[in-house]
Amino acid sequence: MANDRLTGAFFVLFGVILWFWIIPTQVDAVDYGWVKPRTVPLALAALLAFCGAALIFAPSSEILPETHNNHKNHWLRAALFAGLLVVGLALMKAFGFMLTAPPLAFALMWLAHERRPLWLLLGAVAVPAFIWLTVAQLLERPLP
Amino acid sequence: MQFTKTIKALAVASAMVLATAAQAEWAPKGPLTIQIGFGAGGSTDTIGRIIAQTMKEQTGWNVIAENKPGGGGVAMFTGIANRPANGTVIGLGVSMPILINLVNRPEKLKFNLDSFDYLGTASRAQLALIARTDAPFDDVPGLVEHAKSNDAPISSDAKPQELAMRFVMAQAGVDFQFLATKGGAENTKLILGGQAIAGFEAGEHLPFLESGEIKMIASMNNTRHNYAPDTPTLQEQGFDIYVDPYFFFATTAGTPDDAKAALTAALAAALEADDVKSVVANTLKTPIINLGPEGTKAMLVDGVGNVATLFAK
Amino acid sequence: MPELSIMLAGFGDALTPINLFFVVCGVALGQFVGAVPGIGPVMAMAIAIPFTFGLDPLAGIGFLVGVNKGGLVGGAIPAVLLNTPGTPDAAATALDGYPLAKQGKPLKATKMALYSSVTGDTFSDIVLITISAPLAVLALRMGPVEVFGLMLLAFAVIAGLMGQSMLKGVIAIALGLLAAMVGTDPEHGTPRLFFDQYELYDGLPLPAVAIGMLAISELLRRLSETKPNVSAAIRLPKNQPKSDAAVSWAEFWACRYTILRGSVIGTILGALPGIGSTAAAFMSYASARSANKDPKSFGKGNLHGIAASESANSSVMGANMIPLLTLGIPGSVGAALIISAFMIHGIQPGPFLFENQGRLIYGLFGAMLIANFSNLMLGQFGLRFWVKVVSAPESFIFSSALLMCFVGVYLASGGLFGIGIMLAFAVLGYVMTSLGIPIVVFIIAFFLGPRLEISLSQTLSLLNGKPEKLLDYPIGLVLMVLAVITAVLLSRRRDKG
Repeated sequence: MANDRLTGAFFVLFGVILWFWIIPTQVDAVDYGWVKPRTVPLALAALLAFCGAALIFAPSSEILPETHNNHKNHWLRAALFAGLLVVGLALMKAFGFMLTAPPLAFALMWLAHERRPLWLLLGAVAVPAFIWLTVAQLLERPLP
Repeated sequence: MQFTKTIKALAVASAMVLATAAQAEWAPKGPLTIQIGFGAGGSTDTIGRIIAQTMKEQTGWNVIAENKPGGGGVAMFTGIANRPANGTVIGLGVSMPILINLVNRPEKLKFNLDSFDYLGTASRAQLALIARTDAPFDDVPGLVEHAKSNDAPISSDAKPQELAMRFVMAQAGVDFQFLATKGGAENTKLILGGQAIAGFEAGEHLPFLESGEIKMIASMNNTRHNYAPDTPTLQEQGFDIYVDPYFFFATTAGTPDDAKAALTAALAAALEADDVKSVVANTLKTPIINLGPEGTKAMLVDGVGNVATLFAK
Repeated sequence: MPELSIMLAGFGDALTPINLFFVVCGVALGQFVGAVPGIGPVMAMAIAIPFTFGLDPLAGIGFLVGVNKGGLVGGAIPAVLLNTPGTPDAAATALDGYPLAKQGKPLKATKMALYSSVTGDTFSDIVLITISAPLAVLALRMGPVEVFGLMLLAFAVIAGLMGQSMLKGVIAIALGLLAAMVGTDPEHGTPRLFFDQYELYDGLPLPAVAIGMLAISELLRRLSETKPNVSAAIRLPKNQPKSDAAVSWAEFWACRYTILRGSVIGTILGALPGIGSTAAAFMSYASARSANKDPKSFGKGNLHGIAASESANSSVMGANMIPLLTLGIPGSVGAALIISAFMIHGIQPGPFLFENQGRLIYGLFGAMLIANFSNLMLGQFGLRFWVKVVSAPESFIFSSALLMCFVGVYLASGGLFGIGIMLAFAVLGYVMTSLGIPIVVFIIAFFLGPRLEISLSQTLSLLNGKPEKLLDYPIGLVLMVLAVITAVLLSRRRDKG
């Protein structure tokens, strides 16, 4: 209930920001035609704000997927994994796929509680090698 | 005719000589990447890949084709303009989207026409204005006449073509309605289905032309088309506007002269190969047109003026 | 109709060892690549096209068709086994496929997907081979107004399908459409909402958004739930009774109407360019659920759900070939790739195709039927292989799947930028799921958004400010009215619970 009210408030705010700030700065104004560049985005901003408001006044009574209510710390762990992927992307930009993939896979598996050396080796060495072999060698497509 | 042929032959021959000479002195350090400003699977992609493959065979360099889609080549050329000028990356793009951005939002672009050294062109897209054979007109003045007393929906998959017809509209004082579409095939569908009275196509309409279901009203380019020498251009029909998209190659400005010469020659030689000729002919329905470095630059400079007229800037 | 001798010669060509070899190879490759998370059939075809430069036309196009058909079957595998569909049309399969796999019946679930996929595919191929000409004429009659009506109907059906909260469903639609607004607007060609990122000029890259939302966000959730006592990604109970590892004829036959309905929906939507397999899969799923005696069992591992989705999304491809071959109009990205393969070989789809290239076309039809058969045969082994693979530890499967998604999106969207988009949408998907906003509805809206806006623009342009002209388009009008009725009926049913 409280969750839904917060969600609703967020979308009201989002709709308002879209209407008054994002769309005017990011979408060209055109003065002819039937569906102008701004027509549909503005309609969507209004729809989002309306639905948000409705959600504040009539929050749903649905039960959210069990995992997210029972295990609040999953949020944190998911954020940790997401952060790791973002770091992986940054490293890939700097050092390329072949140097980044093995440590990234290793870190992911380690955080997922994998400790058996054989599986760690398979995931961190064999899989990147397999990808390199098929994509870069067999298909002759560049890797990141 | 004979004269131009001789000139062409000479140009090719000298390009070949240049190629061998220059290759002796210059080769890219590491692989040569041909960046394609569109996604995998389209006509630009196909052309880029066959040229990369041919260049690799002819020069012995390690030539790699890579897709860099975004903004009809704007994303790719932004990258090329802002990298070291060492002759290891060539961009393949289409002139119209680049010109439109140069004209309409120059302040937002991280490049201008001087950011590049031009190497040549592969060909151009032949844009036709077409209509169903039973349409009550055969040329643009006829279409204008028809629009005076009827709704005249025209399907267009790109802004420049639409603007050219808006130019006609303004000059003739009539109203067309424009159906925005996602490609030439959709234009053909709307024309055959009778929802649009006319529309644009870049080659896929040829079988329908042959079968007699569709007729050609005008060439939108600044010259007539090789397959329809009897259909006049928009300019010849009294409307001084054209749309002439070229597939062109460029690299970063400031590339050393020997590298530039070697790349230009390698490209020219690849464009003369039979494989490349047949793939271009099959996908674009046009012969190879290589304007060379100077011609490519001139084409783009002229294009800026024409696009500015189109967008009434 | 060409002469019988040409048809027979064409079918004969398809059966030569070299063509058989390429078709079967294509199917095997498609099934394998389609099943790898992050790389779908379209991606596989785009990569395969340059390899067909050197082949003769029938072998080359047969190979591509094989890749495509194999990819359709393969695409269901990660959706069912890991709940990580790589393409949105497989997302409908995951709705019931994954619950069934979680119950320890992954083989049963994937086999049902295989059988209904091949059945739907064969159905639409037969329609293509027998009555493509009249259907093509019908497709031409479906202009912008009719397509717009059909899009509205699709939205009404799909909005009624998802989640318990109507409001959150509408929010998901609005967000999905908003994401679809990024890039160049269809009517004026001006860039919008792209924040000076030219990579966004053509819109958010579809594969990055779909894989981020559907696959990566699910992988994040599953990774966050891993426990120190390592477990397999899918647990296969020991000494499983045979009935849990296979689909019996009786079970398949019980789904015959579901599959038939799915195939018809898929074939109709496939013959109309631009709507696509995602809408077909979900419309079929929704109608199967409302036709079922026990709609509450959907989403909990009902075989009908799998059958509905797979029969519909697979039958789209065969029907896509109808406008492709007769008019040269591609109905989907996959079909556009097949057209470019035709063109490379100097063959122009269109009016003269059957007359000039009759033998090749019947060869292609033969190749399509062979591909369906190989799908069925190879699938038997392939499914076992993949079920075996996912019985590896979760940590290994999830990290490898993430790497594959990185590479797949990099290849499909041409850069690290695409991977960034994928990660952003993964986080968004995770948050939306946590708030109860249905991500699948978001994805469908995102995919249909551009077509919806463009057909709205075309419709208004045709009406030219005169609403009474709508009466000139009776089919379009009927579809729009149907959409409104559907929306009202579905929201009433929801109120009753």
